[in-house]
Amino acid sequence: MQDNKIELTVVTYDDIFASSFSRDKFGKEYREKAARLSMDESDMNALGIKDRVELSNENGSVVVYASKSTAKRGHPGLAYIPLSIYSNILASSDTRRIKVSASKTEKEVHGLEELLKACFPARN
Amino acid sequence: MANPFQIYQFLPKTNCKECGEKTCMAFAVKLISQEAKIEQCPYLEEDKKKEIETIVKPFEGAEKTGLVIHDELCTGCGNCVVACPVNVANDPHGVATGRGSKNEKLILQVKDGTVHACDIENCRRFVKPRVLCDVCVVLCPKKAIEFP
Amino acid sequence: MELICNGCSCLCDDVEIIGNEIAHACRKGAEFIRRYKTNRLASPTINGERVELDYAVKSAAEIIKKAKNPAVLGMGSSMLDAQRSAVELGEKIKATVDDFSTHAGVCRGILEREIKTCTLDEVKDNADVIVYWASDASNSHPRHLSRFTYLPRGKNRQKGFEERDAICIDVRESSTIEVCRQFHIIPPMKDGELMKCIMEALDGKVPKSSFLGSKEIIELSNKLKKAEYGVIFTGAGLDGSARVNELKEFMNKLNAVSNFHMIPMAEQCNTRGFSQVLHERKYERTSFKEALAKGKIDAALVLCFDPISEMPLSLSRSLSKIQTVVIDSYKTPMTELSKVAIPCAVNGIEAGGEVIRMDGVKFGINKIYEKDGSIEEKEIMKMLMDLI
Repeated sequence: MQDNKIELTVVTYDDIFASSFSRDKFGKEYREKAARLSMDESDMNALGIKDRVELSNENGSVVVYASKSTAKRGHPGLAYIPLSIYSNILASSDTRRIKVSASKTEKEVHGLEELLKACFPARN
Repeated sequence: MANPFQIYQFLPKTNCKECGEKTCMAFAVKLISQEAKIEQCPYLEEDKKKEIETIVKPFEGAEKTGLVIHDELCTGCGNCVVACPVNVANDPHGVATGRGSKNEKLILQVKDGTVHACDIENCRRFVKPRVLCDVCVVLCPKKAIEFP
Repeated sequence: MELICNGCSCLCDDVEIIGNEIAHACRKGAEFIRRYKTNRLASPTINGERVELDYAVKSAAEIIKKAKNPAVLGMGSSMLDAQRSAVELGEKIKATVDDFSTHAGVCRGILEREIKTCTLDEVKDNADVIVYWASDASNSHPRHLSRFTYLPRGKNRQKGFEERDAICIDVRESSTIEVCRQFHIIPPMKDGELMKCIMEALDGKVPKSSFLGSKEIIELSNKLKKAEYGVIFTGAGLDGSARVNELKEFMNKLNAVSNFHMIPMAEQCNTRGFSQVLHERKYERTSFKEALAKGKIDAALVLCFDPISEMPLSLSRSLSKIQTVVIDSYKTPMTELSKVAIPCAVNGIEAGGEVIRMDGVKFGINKIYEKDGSIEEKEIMKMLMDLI
């Protein structure tokens, strides 16, 4: 069965909770705040997403936590994530706006150690 | 913001009245306003009790004025601290000018990165003539402070 | 104990540590101070293997000396003396020097006296119209509105927010927009166009924009025109959307009919300091990302900065293939991928120094705690310079 996918534009921003933990990027709190996509409710429902989403495009793919957006105006087709290595996996030249395909997933959100191993295999 | 229906779904829904309320819904409402305690229901399973506790917890500090601070949403920006008319009246050269202050009469203060209420019964909403002041709510960038 | 927080370029000087409690600092500042010992870069390393400091510095110097096209990166949260050493080194080895700041243009415009500016204290005392343009201060500089701009009472603004207007222009419904009474959400890359429309309105013409109604733009222009003391805080979002020339033209036009000042919302605690150092030494900042993308960099010295969290992965992969030396207090993706990593004392907490706030005011920061064996950034730079 083909998994449901939708196209999203991911917009990155400076999130205070993620940047508060930016001196401990290998910690759990940073992962929980930085690897978190704020999505429009209708997009989450369309994909049947509860707490995690997989984002992919020609640059790569990454699994992040998903939260319902607190914006008063709906923004279907747009989603927001703090600027970090998680978002940079998907970025082309502009790290601020990234076009991706989103789908539901059961995979885990990687911690930074695992992510670095996966993204920079030559190093290890 | 929690509503009683969120709590109701974890209650037995039998309306047995043993908690002292007429219906489970009435009990849910009283749990939020801190007028009833979870222990009053003799038929709550442990896991359901925990769910209800999670919903009710932010309201425990609500005290008489019903002020609720969602600590996990607060950024410690100090907007509420500097805008609060009680704070400003008590500390016109400190907090009113945006500076952190040790003034003991402040009812909202930022400690360890988030805002904390103390002596909140001095809030304008409670002290006569009671005013529906909502400056702290309106100016919060994360909607972390509210009078639900 | 009173201290100056260097979590961002607000440099809050009213933070206190009373017993075990950190008072007045925002979440970011409190977190940085409370957990300054967590996730530290424990020891100098070469290819991940622990080595003695002298050997690490010697290897670093070799990398820099052998490089034909070196780069010096970061420095935004370094103290002024470390920044000066780094730029001096950059000049000597003809390096690409880049702090990755999106405010370079505005800082330079201000330093070259082509953009009118003022201090944050002057904003507090006088500003009646405050504009956050492409800036989400409530996330990046949490106490900005309560300490300096919208909320506080000032000498000529005794009623605080009741006699001030806060306007926010951004591409999304940000936390700052939540607070500002007036806001305009515009599509991305349209800031330059909005400025042109406002200038047309100031000229008495009816502006035609593809995204905002003429009436809305005219009302905004009128509000700016009537300001007694206006200030525009420029955010990272303007990068690529409005060129510095457009900003200068806009400010000149605005100041012909009103009284407006501009202050960049500098990202890191000493971003403004870095611009000042470059200006003093008359050295140009050039784009590291562009040079790296063209394959024109063969080595990089990185100071207290993690480019991997700021660049597309493809560029970070290129970075991981060249010779890199990192000086940092904390373990980051950059320290894990560099050839040589050298730990330093935490700036502002274990090491004191001078920094410049986003509005150009200089602050002397004293250390709060004694360092535990690590050495200061400026000492490491001195060791490096002596070998090069």
